[in-house]
Amino acid sequence: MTVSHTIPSTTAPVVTAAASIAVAPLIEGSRRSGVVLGVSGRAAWVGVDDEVLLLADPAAVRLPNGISLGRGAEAVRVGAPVAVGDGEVSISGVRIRPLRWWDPRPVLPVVTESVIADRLAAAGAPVFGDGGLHVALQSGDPEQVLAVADRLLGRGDGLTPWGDDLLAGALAAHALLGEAVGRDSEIVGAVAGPIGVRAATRTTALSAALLRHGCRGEVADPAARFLEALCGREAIAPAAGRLEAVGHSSGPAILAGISAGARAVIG
Amino acid sequence: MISHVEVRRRTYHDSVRLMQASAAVQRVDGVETALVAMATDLNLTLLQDLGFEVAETTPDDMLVAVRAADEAVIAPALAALDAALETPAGDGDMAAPEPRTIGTAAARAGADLALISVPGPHAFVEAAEALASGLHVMVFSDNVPVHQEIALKQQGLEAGLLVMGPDCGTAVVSGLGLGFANAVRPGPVSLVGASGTGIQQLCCLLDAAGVGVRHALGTGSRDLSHAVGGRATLQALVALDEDPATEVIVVVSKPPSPEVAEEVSAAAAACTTPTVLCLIGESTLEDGAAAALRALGREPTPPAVWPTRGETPRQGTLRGLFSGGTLRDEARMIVAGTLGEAAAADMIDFGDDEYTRGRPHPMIDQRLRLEHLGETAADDSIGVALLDVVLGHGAHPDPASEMAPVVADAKEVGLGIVVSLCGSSGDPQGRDAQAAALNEAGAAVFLSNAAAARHAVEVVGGTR
Amino acid sequence: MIDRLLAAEPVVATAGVDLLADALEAQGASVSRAAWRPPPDEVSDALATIALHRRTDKANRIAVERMMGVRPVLTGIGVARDALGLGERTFLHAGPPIAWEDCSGPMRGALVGAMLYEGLAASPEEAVALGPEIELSPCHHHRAVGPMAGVISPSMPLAVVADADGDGAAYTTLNEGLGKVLRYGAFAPEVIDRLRWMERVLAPTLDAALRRIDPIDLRSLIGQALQMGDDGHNRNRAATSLLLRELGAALLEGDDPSRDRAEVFRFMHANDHFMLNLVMASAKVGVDAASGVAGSSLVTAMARNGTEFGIRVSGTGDAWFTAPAPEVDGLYLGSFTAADANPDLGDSAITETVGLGGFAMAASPAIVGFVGGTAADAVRRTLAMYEITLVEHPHYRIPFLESRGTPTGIDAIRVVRTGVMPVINTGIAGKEPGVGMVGAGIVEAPVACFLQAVRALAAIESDEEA
Repeated sequence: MTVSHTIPSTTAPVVTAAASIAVAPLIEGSRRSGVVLGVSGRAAWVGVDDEVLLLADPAAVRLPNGISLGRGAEAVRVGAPVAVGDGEVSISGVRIRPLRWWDPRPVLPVVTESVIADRLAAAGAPVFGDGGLHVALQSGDPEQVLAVADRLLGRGDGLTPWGDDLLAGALAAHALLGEAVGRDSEIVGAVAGPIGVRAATRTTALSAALLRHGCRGEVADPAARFLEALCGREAIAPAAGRLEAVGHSSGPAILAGISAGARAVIG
Repeated sequence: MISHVEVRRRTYHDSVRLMQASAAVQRVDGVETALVAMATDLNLTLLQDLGFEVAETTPDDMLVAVRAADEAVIAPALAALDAALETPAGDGDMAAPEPRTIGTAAARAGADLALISVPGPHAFVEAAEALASGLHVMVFSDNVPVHQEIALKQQGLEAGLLVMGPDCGTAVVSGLGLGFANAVRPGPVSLVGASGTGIQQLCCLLDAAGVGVRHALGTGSRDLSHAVGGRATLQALVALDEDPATEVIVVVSKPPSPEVAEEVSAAAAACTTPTVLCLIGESTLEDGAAAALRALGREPTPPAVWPTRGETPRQGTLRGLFSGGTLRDEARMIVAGTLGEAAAADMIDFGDDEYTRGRPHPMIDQRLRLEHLGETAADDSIGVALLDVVLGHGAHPDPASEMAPVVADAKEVGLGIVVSLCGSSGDPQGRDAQAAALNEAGAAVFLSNAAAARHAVEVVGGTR
Repeated sequence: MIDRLLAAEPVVATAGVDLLADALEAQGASVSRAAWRPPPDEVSDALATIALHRRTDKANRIAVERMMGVRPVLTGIGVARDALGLGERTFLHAGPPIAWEDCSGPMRGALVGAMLYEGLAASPEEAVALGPEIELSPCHHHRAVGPMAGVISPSMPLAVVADADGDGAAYTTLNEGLGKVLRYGAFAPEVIDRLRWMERVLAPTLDAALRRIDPIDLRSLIGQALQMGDDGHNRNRAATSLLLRELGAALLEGDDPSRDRAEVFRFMHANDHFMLNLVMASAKVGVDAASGVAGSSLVTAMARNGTEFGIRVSGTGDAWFTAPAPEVDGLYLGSFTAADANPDLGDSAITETVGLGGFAMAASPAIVGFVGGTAADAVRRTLAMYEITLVEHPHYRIPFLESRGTPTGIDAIRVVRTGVMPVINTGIAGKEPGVGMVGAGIVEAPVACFLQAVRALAAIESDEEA
C-alpha cells in the first residue's frame, strides 16, 4: 500500500462523474497511487492495489467497477500515473470526482423457484455451454466448483475472457437468486477467496477484478436487469437480448453463467 | 471585346457542375458573358443566341465560351473555370442535424425519461409528444394550465407512464438527480411527493444520518390539489411499493386538499412496504426523516447546527426570504404556531411563479433575494432574517460566496441571520464549506429547516 | 410501465434549459438534448389545442397508410378534353387558384401559348386580350398536376397514371423538354409546333406502345432510379432511361411509321426530364388518396402558381393555405442572373410531399451543386427532413444512407414546431413571358402557409368540441 507523494493542485480541471458504490471505499479512502493499465476507444482502466477501475463514456454499460465520466474527459495514456483517494481519481492533471453513485448489486424480490424456472425456460437455451458449473454449484462441494473454475479461468480472448465472464455470471446469480428464494449461497462464500487468488495470476487484471465483484453479487447493469427479469420484474426476452448484446463474447457468456447459477439454485 | 470559344473533346461534367463553373467564370473581372456546357443541340442554340461562333462538335464534348473586355481576361477566366471544375472541398460533415423536439431527441438515444423545461405555454406539446413516444416525463416548467396537467397525467395513467410535474423541481431516479436534487447515495428509502424542496430536505436529513435514497419522485406542486386528485402521487406510490429495493417509503407534501389527503393516506396504509406520511402542517420534515429512520430500525439524532456566538441581534420582527416553497411553508407554520399568524406574514417564496417569470429560479440566480436581504438590513423594524440555501445538482455552484458578504453587512447593522441549509455531504458545492462560510459571516446555520425556524422564533421572541 | 423506470438508471432526453441537461451530464449520465426553440407565438395555442385532442397521431398514421398504399402505374395517354371533361375555354394551371390579372410573366406566357395552340387566338396580342375571359382552375382540383406553369388546355395529351391496387388515378402533361417550352412561359412558333407534334405523333405512338404491354409500375421505376442517382425532381435522367427500356420493345413492335417511332425515341432520349411529369402524377395519386382524414396534419400538396405558394393538408381537405411565392436560390443558365428569375413556380413540389426531390437529395450527388456544392450538404439536407416527416419511404431508398427510406409525409405540425422548412429542388422560369427556363436551384416552402394550416386544424378541433 503506497501513499501518493504528489498532491494535485486544486486548480486542476475537475471532471464530475458517476461511479459504482462498490468502488466508493477506494475512491473515498486515503490516497493511493495506481497506473493506467489500458485504453480502448472511449474507456480506460486503472489498476490500484488489487482493484481495477474502469473509466468510461456515459453511454457505456455500467460495470461494478465503473466510473462514468461527465463532460470534459480527456484521453489518457497507458502507463500514466494515477492517484485515487480523497473522493477523486487524478489522471494526467485531470481530477475525476464522482457526484453520484449507482449500486451494481441488484435487490431482487422474494420469489419461488418455480418463477425462476418458468422465466429461465422462456429465455431459451444460452449460446454457451456452462462447462459443468451448474452441476458443480448444485453439488454444494467447493472443491468441485474450484475444479471447474480452474478449467474456465482465463479461457478465451480479450480483456474479459469468456471463461471468466461465465464464472462471474454463475457465482453472482447463485448468490443473488439464492437470497431471492431465501437461501444463503454458502458455496459462493467458500470459493470467492480461492478464485480471487487464482484469478490474480490466471487472467487479465480487469477480468480478475470483475470476477471478485461477481462473487459479491455485483454485476454489469444488463446482467442485473436480466436477473430481475428472472424474478419476474420485467420481460425476459428483451432483457436477455440486451445482455447478449454486451461486448463480443461477454454478454452471451455472462448470460450462460447466470443460467447455470439459476439452474443450480432451483435444483 | 473579344470572344473565346474552345471545345474540350470527350470531356463530361454534369449540368449542375457546369452551371456552377459558368457562374464562376462570369464572376471574373472583365468577363461579360460566359457559357460552359455540354455540346447538346439545346446548348449549341443557346451559344448561337449569345452570338458565339460554334465549331463542329459532338454531344460528348464540352463547350467553353467567354466574351470579355480584352485578351488579358481570358487566362484568369479559364483558370477560374478549371478551379471550379475541381472537386469542391466539402467539410465532409454528414452528421444528422441536432434533434429539434423531445421525441426526436429521445429516439436518437433510446431514452426512457424526458426532462422538459421549456417555457410553460409550450411544455404541454413537448410532454404530450414524450408520452406518445412511450417516455416517462418530468415537467420542470411552471405556468402550465391545470387542465393540461390533468390531460398529461391521464394520458400517463393510461399508458403506464409517470408524469412528474408540471412545476416539478426535483426528482432522483436510481441515484440520478433531475432538476434541483441533492447528491445522495443509493439506499433503502424512496420518497414521493408534491413538494420539491420537501423532498430535498428529506434527502439531506437522511444523508446526514448515513441513509441513502433509492428514488425520489416529485409529482408537481399541484398534484395533491383537488383538481389533479393526486394522480401521479398515487401512481408512483404503487410502483414504489412494488420496488424490491425500497424498504421504506416517505410521502411528502405541502398541505394537500382534504379529500386527496384521505385517498393518499388510504393508499399509504395499503402499501406492504412501511410508509411514512409527512404532510407539512401535520408534521415537519424533520419528523418525517426521523420516522423513516425509525422504520429502518435506526434511532434518529438531531441534525447538524453551526451556531453563532451569543450576540443579540436588534429588536424587531421576522422576515423570511426563501427559495424553496415547502421550506417557506414549513417555517411559516412553525412561526405562526408559536408567535401567531401576524408574525408569520412576512415570509416570501422567491421560487413562486410571480418572482420567476422571465427570471431564473432563485436557487440558480440569487440576486433578487440578496437585494431583498440588503433592504431587510436597512429596515430597522426587522430583527431577524430567515433564509434557506439549497445546494445540489442544478443549483448555484457556490451560493455562499455571494451571500456571505451580504450577510456580513447585515450583521454589521444588527440584523440577526438564520440560514436553513439544505445540502447533502456529497453535494458538488461542498455542504460543510458552504455552512462554514455563511457561519463565519455571522449566520446561524441549521441543516434542519424546522430547527432553523424554531431558532428564528426564539431569537425574535427572546428580543421582544 | 413505471417499474421499468424504477429498475435502472434512466437515459434522459431533454428540451429546454441547458443548465439542467448540464447537471445531468455532470453526473455522468447519458443525455440526449433537443435543440428546442419556441414555435411562433401565433400557433402556440393552436399546437396545444391539437395536442390536447390527441387524434393527430392516429389520423396521420391513417393518412400516410393511404398515401403509401397506392401503386401508381402508367396505363396510357388520353386527351384533357375527355379525360378531365374540360370545357373549351377552361385552362388548368399549376399551384393554388389564381386570376388572370395576378398571373406572373411565365404563367401568362404559358396561357398565351396554350391559347395559340388551341386556336383561340391568332397572335400573342389577341391571346392577351382574351386572357381575362378564359376560365382558370388549378390542376390540383382536377386530379392533375403540371410542372412549372402546369398549363393544361383541352386538346393536350395527358398521361394517365392509375393506382394498380385501388381506383385512384392522376393525369399530367407530357414533358416538352428543356429550353424554350410552354411550361416555362415560352410561346414562340417552335413551342406551339412542338406541342402539335406531341399531340399528333408522340401521344398516339406512346399510347399504342403502352397498350401492347402491361401498365408500367412507376413506383418501382422511381425506386430504381433513386439507386441510380435521381432525386425524382431535378434529376430524372435514370428514370427516363429506365422508362425507355420498358417501352423499347413495344415501340419497335408498333405499326406506326418507323420514322414516327424513331422520332419519339429520339425525343425522349433527348429529354432527361421526360419522367418528371410521370413522377408527379404518381405522387398525386398518393396524396389524393390521403386527403380528407379528419385531424391529420399530413401535407397533401405543395404547389406554386408563380405568384403564390400554397399547401393543403389532409385534415382540412381542399382548403389552400397560401403565401407569396418565394424566390429561388439557384444557378443560372448562360448569361441569366437572379434579376431575370420569376418567383417559385409549378406543381412539381408534389415530389417533395412524397419523399422525393429535395427530400431525396442524398440520393443524387450529381445535383448537389444546388444546395451549396458538396455531397455532405446534400446528405445533411435529407437528414434534416426526417425531423418533419412521418415515415421513411418503404420503396424509395437512399443507397448512401444504408438504404434508409427517404423522409416521407410532411407533418405541418412538426414544420411549425421545429422551424425546419421543407426544401424543394426546382427549375427557375424567366420572369418575362416567352423567355423560358433561366436556371435551377432550391427553395424553402414559406412558413406562413404552415402556420395557417395549423391554426385551421386547431379551429376544427375547437369547433368539434363546442
